[in-house]
Amino acid sequence: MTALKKTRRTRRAFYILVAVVIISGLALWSHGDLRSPVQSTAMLIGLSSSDAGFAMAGERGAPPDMAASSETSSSVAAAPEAEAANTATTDTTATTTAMTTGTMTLETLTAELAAAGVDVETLSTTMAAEGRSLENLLSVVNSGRVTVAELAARLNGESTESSPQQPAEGSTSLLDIRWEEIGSVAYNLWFMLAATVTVIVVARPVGWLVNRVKRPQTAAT
Amino acid sequence: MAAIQSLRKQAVTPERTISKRKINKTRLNVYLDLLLTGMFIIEMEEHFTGLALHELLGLTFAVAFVLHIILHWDSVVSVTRTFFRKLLHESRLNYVLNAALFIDMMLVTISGILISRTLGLQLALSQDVQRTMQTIHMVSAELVLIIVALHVAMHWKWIQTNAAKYLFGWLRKSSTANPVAPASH
Repeated sequence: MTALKKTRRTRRAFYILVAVVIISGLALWSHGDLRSPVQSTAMLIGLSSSDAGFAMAGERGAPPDMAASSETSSSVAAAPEAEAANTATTDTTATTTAMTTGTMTLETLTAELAAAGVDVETLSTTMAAEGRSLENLLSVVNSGRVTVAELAARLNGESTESSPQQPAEGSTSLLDIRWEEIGSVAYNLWFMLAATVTVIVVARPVGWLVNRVKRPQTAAT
Repeated sequence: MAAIQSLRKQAVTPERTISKRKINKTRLNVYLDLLLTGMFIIEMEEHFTGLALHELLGLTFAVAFVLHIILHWDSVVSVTRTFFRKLLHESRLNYVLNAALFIDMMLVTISGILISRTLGLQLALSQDVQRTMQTIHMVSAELVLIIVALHVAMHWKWIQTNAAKYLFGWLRKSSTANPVAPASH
């Protein structure tokens, strides 16, 4: 009786877990926070780090010691572009992967940037001169770290750093929490729960197979 | 009669203290693991915490991680000793996974300390070495997420049992203390 009760309780806990994973997964997906860790790793490998580290466009600015190097940029419009582009490499294979796995295509990005008033041709030429391409920007946008509107604003020279929600460039204060990034934290928790569900489901046939392998061994001994 | 009772008490007391100590250790494990999980999911998102908190939290996490291993040291030793005796056992898979997690965590921590900017170390590393360390830090951190997820999944039964006991035990207690009163006429 108690064993039956225990089984029922375990099953009920599993169903609750599955429900939590599905509901929170849908919530994360609707907010654009659902991403594959393999995909993001591939993208991060594809994007080389600048002196400022792995901060991508829309993320934290360079730390104070590194920010000085970026101040040498010739024009105001080129500075944010350089910041975004510096995080990217010329490795086209990696960016192509990001392009195909991302939610936005290069055509859509260029169209949206053009609509937002960005001179895409000049931008493309400038980036090409630096050995980069628009695909680098696409991978940054597809990572979900920055929206096209934010990128366009940066490329147009409108400083988003001055907005009250954004932390100061190179801020290293201890309580520099960006609550709008809470989705990424929730994603980590969701990933753990999803992996748990997967392991529980996979464990059944695997356990059955292991038992089948074990049985002849014990019979032989 | 009183002498017999005192003898009985003496006989029972050591067992009780051992079981109490065991329960306390499990409770400590539950709270520490909960803290580790919370810290881990926050720590993984540097753009959420900011660099200073990320680095400080990383160091705290490393200490808590070592404490987690110390608390499970008995099982580590026992599985290490008998590893090849029962190869087709769940604990062996756990062991391999935990070893991978340990190595990966070491990589993340060491590379993180080497590239830290707010901890006051300011190591004079060349740009190439720094970039390599950054790559190692990022890639191994993403790998840690996958391994930790598997680690949590593999210990799900333990989590389920002990979370129900120590975290949500009050729910059961309150429901038994205040059972639904039968309707009175």
